[in-house]
Amino acid sequence: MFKLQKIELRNRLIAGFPPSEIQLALEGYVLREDLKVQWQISRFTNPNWLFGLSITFIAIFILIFGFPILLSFSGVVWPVFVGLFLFLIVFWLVYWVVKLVLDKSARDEMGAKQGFLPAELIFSHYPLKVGENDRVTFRRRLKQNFWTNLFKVHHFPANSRLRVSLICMERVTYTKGTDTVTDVATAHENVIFSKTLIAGDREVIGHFDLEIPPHLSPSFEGKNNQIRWILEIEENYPGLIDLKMTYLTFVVDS
Amino acid sequence: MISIELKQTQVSPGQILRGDCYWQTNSDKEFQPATLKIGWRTEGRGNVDKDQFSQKIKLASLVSVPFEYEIPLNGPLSYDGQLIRIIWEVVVQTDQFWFGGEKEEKVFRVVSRLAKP
Repeated sequence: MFKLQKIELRNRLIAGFPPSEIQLALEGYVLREDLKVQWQISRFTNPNWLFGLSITFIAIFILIFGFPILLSFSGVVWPVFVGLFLFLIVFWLVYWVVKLVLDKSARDEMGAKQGFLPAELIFSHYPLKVGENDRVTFRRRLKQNFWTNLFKVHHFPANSRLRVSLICMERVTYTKGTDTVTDVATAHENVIFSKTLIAGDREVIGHFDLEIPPHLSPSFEGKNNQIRWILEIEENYPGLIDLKMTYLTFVVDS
Repeated sequence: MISIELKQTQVSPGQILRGDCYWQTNSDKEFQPATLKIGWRTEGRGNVDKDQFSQKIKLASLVSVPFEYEIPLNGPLSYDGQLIRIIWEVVVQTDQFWFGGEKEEKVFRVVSRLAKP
């Protein structure tokens, strides 16, 4: 599982993953998670899972619609493609309905995904500096909407857990023939916090100390070369969502 | 032959790098136009990123040409990683594109203000 998460992080880094925007609020500097990206790396939309499902679709389609495919060779092409399209849509809808009815964890995750507000990190000062220490607050809130009511996700479980890793990664882009290739490498990785969260009804909070090791490099954003600092956050909400990874990129100054 | 002498081999952002460059020649030329460049570039697997300050200078045989440059506060630190190296350097190159052009480079390190000298 750990290895898979690393691959996800690697893919996100390769895909771009620019340093996050930070906003100054009364409570400090607030860094928010990008939920769109988070949704993309959910296990329901994992690319490997989608690939497997697509292969299954095609296999079933060939079995059921073998005859129309043969017809397509005799000139009746468009009904085959319309049939394929409708079949995929119907299969997809049926799959989701069946999954949500039968699979409680899927219902919980759907409710949580729709009900979660973006994870937030609150820094007392920003950007962080190499060698400096900051007290950081992690916060996740739950909103109340149609989905949270439908799936009865009304509060965070009391024994929710948080695990935070500090990662420094190098990202390079280079030209190989006519292709542009991106590669990443881990320069530093350290688990800095692992603890049970303080759970309220619609909010969980965790506090941890973040120190950027003095011998390491600050963030660097070149056009083709970058050094990026990331907080990888693993959230565990028993009975709601088993595992959730959040990546927040922040800036370290010299 | 061009030679570069730096007063420091290690500076921090905001500090001033000082040095001299010399030119020694056997020709009859009194002056030689050249370009002095100070800045950083990346090295490693990725395509090169760079940022350089450039200035035209006149070299005279055996006469020292002093220079100084304030390392920008937002400039990167020298770095030696797995995929990326960030190199700070002083480059002096004669403005002579045909045979006989000369070039000299001198690398220095830009380190965090926290680093011990």
